[in-house]
Amino acid sequence: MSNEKEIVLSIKDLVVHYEVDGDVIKAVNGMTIQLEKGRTLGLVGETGAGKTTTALAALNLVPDPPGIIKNGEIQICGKDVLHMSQKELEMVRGYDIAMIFQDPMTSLNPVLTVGFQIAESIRVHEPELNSKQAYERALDMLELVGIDRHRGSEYPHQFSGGMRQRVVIAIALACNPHVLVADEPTTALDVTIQAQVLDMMNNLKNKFGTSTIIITHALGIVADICDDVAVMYAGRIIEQGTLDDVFNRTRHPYTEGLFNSLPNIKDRKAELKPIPGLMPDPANLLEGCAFADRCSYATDVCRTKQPEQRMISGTHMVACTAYDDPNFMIERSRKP
Amino acid sequence: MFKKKEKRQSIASQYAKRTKLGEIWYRLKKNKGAMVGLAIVALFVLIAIFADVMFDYDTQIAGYNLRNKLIKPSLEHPFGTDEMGRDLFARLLYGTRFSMAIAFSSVLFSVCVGLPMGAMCGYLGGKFDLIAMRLLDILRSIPGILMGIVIVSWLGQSTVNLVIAIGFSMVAPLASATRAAVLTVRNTEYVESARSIGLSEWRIVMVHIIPNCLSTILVQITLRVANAIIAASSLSFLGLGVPIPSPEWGALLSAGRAYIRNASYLTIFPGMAIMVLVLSLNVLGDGLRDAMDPKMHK
Amino acid sequence: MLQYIWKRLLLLIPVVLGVSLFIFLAVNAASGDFVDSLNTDDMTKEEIIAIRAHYGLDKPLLVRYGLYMLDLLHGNLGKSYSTGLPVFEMFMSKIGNTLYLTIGASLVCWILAIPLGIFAAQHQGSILDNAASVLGVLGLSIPNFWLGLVLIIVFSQYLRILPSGGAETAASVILPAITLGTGQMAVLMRTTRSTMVDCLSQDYLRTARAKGVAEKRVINLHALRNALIPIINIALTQFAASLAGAALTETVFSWPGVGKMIIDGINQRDTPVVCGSLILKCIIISLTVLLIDLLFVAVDPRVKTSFVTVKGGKKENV
Repeated sequence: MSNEKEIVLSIKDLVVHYEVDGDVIKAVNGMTIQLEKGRTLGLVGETGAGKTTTALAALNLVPDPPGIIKNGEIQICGKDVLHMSQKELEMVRGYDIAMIFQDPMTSLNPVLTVGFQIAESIRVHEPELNSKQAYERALDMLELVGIDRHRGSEYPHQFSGGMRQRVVIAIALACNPHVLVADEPTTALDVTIQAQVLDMMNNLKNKFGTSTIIITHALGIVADICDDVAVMYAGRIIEQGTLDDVFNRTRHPYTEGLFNSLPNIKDRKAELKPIPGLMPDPANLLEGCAFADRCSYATDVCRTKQPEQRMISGTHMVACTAYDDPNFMIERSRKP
Repeated sequence: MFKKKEKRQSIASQYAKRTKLGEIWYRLKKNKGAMVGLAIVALFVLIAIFADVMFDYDTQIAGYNLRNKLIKPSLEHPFGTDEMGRDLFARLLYGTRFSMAIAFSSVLFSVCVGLPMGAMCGYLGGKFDLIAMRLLDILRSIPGILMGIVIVSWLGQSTVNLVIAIGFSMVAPLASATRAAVLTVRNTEYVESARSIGLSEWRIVMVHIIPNCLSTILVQITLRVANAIIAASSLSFLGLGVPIPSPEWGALLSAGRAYIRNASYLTIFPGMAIMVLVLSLNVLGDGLRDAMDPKMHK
Repeated sequence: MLQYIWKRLLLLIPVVLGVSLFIFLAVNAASGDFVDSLNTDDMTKEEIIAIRAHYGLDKPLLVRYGLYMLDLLHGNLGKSYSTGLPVFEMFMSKIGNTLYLTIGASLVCWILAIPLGIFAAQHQGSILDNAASVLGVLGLSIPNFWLGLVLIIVFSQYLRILPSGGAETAASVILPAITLGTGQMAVLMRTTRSTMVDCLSQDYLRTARAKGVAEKRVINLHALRNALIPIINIALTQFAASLAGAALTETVFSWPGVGKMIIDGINQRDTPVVCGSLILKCIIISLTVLLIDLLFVAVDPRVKTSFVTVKGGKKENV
């Protein structure tokens, strides 16, 4: 196997805190992740796991008060994003890396036409184009996402939610970025529209060869379009691997819990199995493994020692102290 | 299992301890400016209540002592004396009664008229709303001070008429604000759910709608009282307010204006009194608004 | 769109009628009219009745209103009891002064308040922001006419550099404009700041930054264009309101505008002047407010397009 993996986005040991009114909220606690060129990574986790913060950090967009990047190295195509000048940063954003946000209703500027908003991205990064050319390109993008180009002169409020999200995608892909970060891109949409938008995203991704990180809490979406999966809990990655690794050879108790909590359509009478308890308060994190309180396999060691990241195969990583014992297996693994 | 349940319950009760009013008071206390404002307003209210006890109306306020005419501020007369020889400090403090009484009564008047009107418009909608809104539009086309002028010139000059005039000019904005607040609450989901579980309309209004509008109304009231004080003194200044020799602050300013050349203190002190009281009310009103806004709550 | 304008203009008519009726009744029902303010000691009862008849003061109130409104349509608002001049003429000669003062005050207000508010919003919590907030509340709390008096004391009496009244010199407008503008400035600055703070926390700014748009442009184009719509709306509405409030300032500074004319008219019980001027003033203010509304329908894309596209259902205004 060739190890010439081209890494387009590399995040190492990222630590992000929010300081609000005297409390320190530890949103991201030592996160390391890499995105290979041409692949789609699904970043999975519940609300409050630190996914959005990580995404924002990748563009160095963490709001400065109250957010502080305490530590970490983030490289996009080899460029260190956290230590760039403002000007350099502006050149990277939208050009090397682009982001799609969760709520299409508020992501677009209500007093500017959609054509203008798409064209703006083009004009910022390709100043050699005059405004007419940029606008034409913008209209092309609009068609690409399935919207009639004549609607470029309309305003965001004249579009439905699904179409607005398409506009947001058009803006993000306008300059053909190397990396696309999509933060819950379809969560705010109807289920039927979700499928359409995801489909479209998939096609565009294939067409342009964009490496993508999709942040979501829906495992179904991950199964649909992701190549790799990373599971995040309380600001750390606790399991990571290819889709096959994580779905079919699940190792971490939390991931197991996520799968268990999905209702089984074949067994209607079965009880729902939620994970007991709540995600810990990021302002009050404890010493050991953050999942220990809710974990049915937890031991005393788990509560005091921070789990190490362990590679259990060439592509599969798990951060769980229980695997110090080589014979340890979670229930899901025990099934034939 | 048991331990966890207990723990969760005690946390919940900790938060439930402070009632909504208590919550608001707690947040207000943290705002130093608002507390100072509250203290000053309270002080003025006390002065207004006890003015009669502190000063003898006939000799100090309404009488005259021409030998003491126009003395500049001194130890004996901290704010000087006016053209009739009366101590300005005494008249000023006594004037607090008028300003406070007029302001509160006119706001009360406008609340009694405007609140039910606005609430009914917002809640009932339909024809009532349409007609009432037209009427309000008409009222609103006559801006505040002009409205006051019109009414006083119609009804004649007296303290009661002044209250009516000012109150009347505030009905439209108050009714509008109430209507807007009611409309916002009426369309919320918790009202819908209250209806769906079968609560009577009356109960919905009393239990859900009014308390939620109360915060808007309370803030409005505080700010309107401040406006009323300025309105009252403006009208008195124009000679349309309280009849002489009442020592209402605006009237004091109007009288003092004639002596602006050699006794400018006659115009400075009453105005300062107005400013201090209005400032305190505004700061308090701002503080109240911030304390009641749930977005400020962590 | 034209339909909407038409509708608004038509709605204006009942408002104007209502306002004029109200003012007419109020002013003319006042106990004691012009004749009473004359020295009638030497006159006989018949002479008093004759004078009343001459001025038409003996007819019933509603009839007088009807006749009055008919005359209004011909531009005839009667003649002043004290000067004998046609009220309409008097109003027209003075409205220029009032507009001069009001526009001047508003311009100064906008030039100072809006940038200050925007700056305060961008530097929340800074010393300048806190100072601006304090100034804001102070400006809001100072009684307009008292400020005028204080300014007169300081600048006219002690420093002797500015005139204390009248409209003779070019400098005469300075003190009245400051007086009229201060209260407005305070409110406008606070509103600008809070609108801007709101806008600065909007998601679409984050989208713009993620596109790589320069920070300056994010603020100046994306944020401001949204914020300026309500800000300008309020600024213009304030202007319309100050047309009314100018009455006080004009009185303090003896500025020869329509406000002062109305106040003088009240003191002299010159009913035609008071009635006519008040009605005209209210009509002007209503028209101004209407113009402002129409302007914003044309400018705000969210409102503009609800007239262009057929969306089935009327525009709901809460």
